[in-house]
Amino acid sequence: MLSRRPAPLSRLLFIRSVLVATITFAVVYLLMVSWLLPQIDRATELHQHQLAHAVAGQVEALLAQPEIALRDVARRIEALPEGRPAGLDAALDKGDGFAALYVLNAEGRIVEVGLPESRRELRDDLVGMDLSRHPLVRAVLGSSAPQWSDAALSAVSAGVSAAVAQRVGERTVIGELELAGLMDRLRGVADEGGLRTLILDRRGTVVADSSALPTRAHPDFDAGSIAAVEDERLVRFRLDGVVVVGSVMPVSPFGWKVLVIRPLADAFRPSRTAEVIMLVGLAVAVILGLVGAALQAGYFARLFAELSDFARAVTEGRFERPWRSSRVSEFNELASAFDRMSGAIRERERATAASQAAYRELVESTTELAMRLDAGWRVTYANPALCALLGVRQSDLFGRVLDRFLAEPGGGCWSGQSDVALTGGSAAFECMMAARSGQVRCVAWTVHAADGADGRRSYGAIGRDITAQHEAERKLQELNDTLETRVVERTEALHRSNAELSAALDDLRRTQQELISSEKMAALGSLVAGVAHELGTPLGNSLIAANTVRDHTRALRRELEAGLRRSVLERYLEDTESGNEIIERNLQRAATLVASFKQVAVDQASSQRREFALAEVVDEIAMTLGPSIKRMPVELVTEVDGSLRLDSFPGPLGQVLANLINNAIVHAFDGRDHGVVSVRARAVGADAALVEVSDDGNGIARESQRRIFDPFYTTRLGKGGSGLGLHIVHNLVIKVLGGTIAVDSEPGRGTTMRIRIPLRAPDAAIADESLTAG
Amino acid sequence: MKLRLAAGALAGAVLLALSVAACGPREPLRLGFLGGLTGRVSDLGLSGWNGARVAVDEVNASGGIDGRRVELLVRDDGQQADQARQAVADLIESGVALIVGPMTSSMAEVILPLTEAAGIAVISPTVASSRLTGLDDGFFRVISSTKEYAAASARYAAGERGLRRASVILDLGNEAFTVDWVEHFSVAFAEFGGVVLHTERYHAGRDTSLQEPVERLLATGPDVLLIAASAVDVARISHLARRIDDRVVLLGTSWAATEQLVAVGGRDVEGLLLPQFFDRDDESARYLAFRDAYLERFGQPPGFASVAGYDAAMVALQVLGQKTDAASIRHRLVDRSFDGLQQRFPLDAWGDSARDVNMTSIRDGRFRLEAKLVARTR
Repeated sequence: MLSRRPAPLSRLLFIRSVLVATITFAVVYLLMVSWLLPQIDRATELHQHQLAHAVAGQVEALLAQPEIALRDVARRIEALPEGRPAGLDAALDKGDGFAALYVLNAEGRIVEVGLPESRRELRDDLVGMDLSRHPLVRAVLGSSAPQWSDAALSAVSAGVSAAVAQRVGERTVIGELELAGLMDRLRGVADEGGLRTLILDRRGTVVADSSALPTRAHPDFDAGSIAAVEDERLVRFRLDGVVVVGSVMPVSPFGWKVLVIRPLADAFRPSRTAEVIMLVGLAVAVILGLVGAALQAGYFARLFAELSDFARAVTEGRFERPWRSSRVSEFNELASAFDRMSGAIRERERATAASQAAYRELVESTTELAMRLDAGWRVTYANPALCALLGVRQSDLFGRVLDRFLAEPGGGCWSGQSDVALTGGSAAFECMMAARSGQVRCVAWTVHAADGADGRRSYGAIGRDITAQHEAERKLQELNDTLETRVVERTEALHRSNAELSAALDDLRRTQQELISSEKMAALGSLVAGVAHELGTPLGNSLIAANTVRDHTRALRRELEAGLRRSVLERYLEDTESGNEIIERNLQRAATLVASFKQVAVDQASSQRREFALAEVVDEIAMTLGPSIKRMPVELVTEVDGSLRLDSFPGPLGQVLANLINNAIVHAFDGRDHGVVSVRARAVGADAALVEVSDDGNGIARESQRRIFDPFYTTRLGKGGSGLGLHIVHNLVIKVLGGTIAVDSEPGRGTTMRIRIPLRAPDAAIADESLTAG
Repeated sequence: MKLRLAAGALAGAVLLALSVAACGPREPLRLGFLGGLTGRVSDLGLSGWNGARVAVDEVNASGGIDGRRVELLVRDDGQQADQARQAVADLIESGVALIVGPMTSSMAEVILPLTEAAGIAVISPTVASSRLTGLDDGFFRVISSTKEYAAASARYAAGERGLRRASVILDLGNEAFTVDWVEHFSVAFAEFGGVVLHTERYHAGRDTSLQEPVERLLATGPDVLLIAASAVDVARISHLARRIDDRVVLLGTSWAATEQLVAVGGRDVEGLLLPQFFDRDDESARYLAFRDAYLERFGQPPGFASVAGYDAAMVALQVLGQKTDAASIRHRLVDRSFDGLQQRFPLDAWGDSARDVNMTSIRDGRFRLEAKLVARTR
């Protein structure tokens, strides 16, 4: 197939305009020629024909006149005897259109002539002339009707004339027509706009011509052609190089013809004028159209060229080139569409570039192996991972046939993948790749085929180095193979471990027991050490005092032997008294300490359970402590609900309260000259009471708060505190009273001890190990 | 670009216009014919024209000249000088290359100055005046001059018939011919011992009675009465003469040798002698074909003027379509012979021809050949 060379827009537009113009021209012209003009022409022809008819009628009428006159003459002559009839001149003068009248005798000789006055001189010349050989005379011989001659030279005038002849018995009457007069009369009838009327005889010779110009050409008619055209409505022929149209009408009865002609140009002037006007109009329209089309085409071509430049500029990235706004809105729209399109393309290119970069980065940075191959399995791209795997540079790989890097001969797994890939899907397989170092790596490949826009096939392959995986799998397999044995071994080991653990647990328990015992021993030791330490001082003091007294006594004895002086005795007595006082005081203290120790080891049997009012116990304690408090700058306040009654152990409760108050007095107000200790108690719910012992003293250091209930924890070790007070309180509240105790203290703000005890104490006995478990 | 397109558009439009306008046939070649188609010599003119029409039609029927049609433009000189001048001017204006005509010598004398001035050649069928003989001009003719006819007639009358006494009547309406004729006749007649007794002159257009002139002519007792007039006048004069004298030999000129003579003259022109080149009894195929065609076409048989018109037109058609200035035409026409319808005839260096003269007489209403008189070469 022939590919047509694309033509420029301007030429196309122009050619199409030419086509349109030509077709329009042709259609209009054809319509005009085939429809309009023939109509006008037909009308013209009809008009002309009608005119010819009318003229023929006139001619007929004009010619009928001489014929009638001739008959008239013939009738008169018939009545006359042979010889020269008279009155022919008179008959001629009647104005019937005769130029001459002849009467011929039987021999055909003229016996009498009727002549116009101007020619009467010729009369005698003519009489006797023999016309027997005249065609007309011959023609009339066998006929009774008048006969008309063709144009012929007149014997009289020697000019051309026509004659009509009538037989009268043996004689013949001939009337020679006055053709000039005939034509004069005819001219009045048929002189219309360029019309020319000719009367032709049977031979086609012009008998009469309406044209006033004597030199006018004679139509080229003859007997043959005049007969041929008689039936036609309109004949055309050239006359002096001018085409004329004529109508031929027969003039009955003598076979002459009337030819009415006029130049074709005249006859068809209306249609020719219409044609010319239309042609000129069409031509002007076509020329204007073509010039306009050319200009328009040029204009559009320029616009398109500008648009093309604009588009090229956009293509080449010269976005700064502005579109000069055109008068054609579509071009502006197209230009702005280009602009938008270029923007969109740029955007898309950026996106694509970004996407490509991203993909490239992805492909370049991934540890997966990626490459592209052409139809001949030549590498067109390989990512760094693959290059690294094979130990080559990218440039070494490009264009190489993949076979070089396969550990398997003949393409290995790759051969045959083309068929698989040809089916349009992707194929996955593994193959051994040979690195340049000689190392063989197993790679799992997924290959897919794609047909490019140019129809050429290419392949993409994604692979993963599964050498390590293979190794792991191998090892796993091995492991799987030895799993049973190892399970048995492990089970045995576990059994062993279990036994060992059981033994260890037993040891641990024992050790725990031992630890507990040793802890108890340690506590006991600590208790003993504390007791020893507490008792040591008064006992030591007493011992020293006793020793001093003994020494003083011994000194007296010696004095006594040596003379006893009074002063010495008196001093002795003083010293002894003082010694005794010291001993007594120290022993007293020791006794107190021992009693205190006894109290600590609470004896259940000593605790009496009874129902009592809480306020009584509190008041009792306050009264007991009153004397010692009076010496101190401390105020004791009690605030107890008097109706609150408990079924509990009043002794331990009192000890608890006393210990707490004492503890507050001793510890809370160091460095203070005033303090308030308050005891408040109220019912909490239906079966519990809350007793609070508060002070506004120094508070307890935070780190000490959690330890204050531990035994022997004291901040005043060596200064009279045993470290057991609060421990005892704790034990009594929990174990005896069945309640709970909590400390709420903030350094500098004071301390509140909250004891919550049931109104009815539990029946359970006080644990005997209360001390030991401390 | 724009200009080129615009130019293309204009060119296309012009081509379109031309293609619409120029579809007509090639312009025909124009040949003029001049003759008296009306008036007293119209038989000559119409016959000559008809002969020329046949010749032109033959050429056109065979494809024209170099593919171009020939158009015959005809003008009537009316046998009047003014009308003839007007007719020639008309023809020249119409762009004819050549003119065939005129038919009478008097007209030839009128128009030749015009055609000479316009450089248009004239080839006459029937002009015989010897006044035009031997001129190096643009006038050609295909028949012999009056001198040949008249001399031959005189030779025949005096030599063959032994007629020595002649009376002459001539029509001054065609003076160029008749006077010329009579002069040459007289000279030749005298050479043979003849004598012209009396000469009468009249003017045909004046409608005067010719009885007295004829009586005067016959009163001199001539052996032969030479009538130099048109056919109709010859008929009348013959009639007048026969009233008085049925013995005298009547002699006409080539001018009167038309069919009209017989029609109007009847028995009065029986025995009338007429010199003419035309042979009505020619039996050659070419002539018979011509005669039949002519008869069919024009309703009457051809006359001598028809043959002369045909021959003249044929000569004209041989040079039509080429350079038609008088010099070129003369160069191509002169000093050669042409195949006329009835005989071969030469054109001499002056464009004049010489043909054999047939001496005819009218017998039983027809022209009969009496003697063939060989043209005397100069």
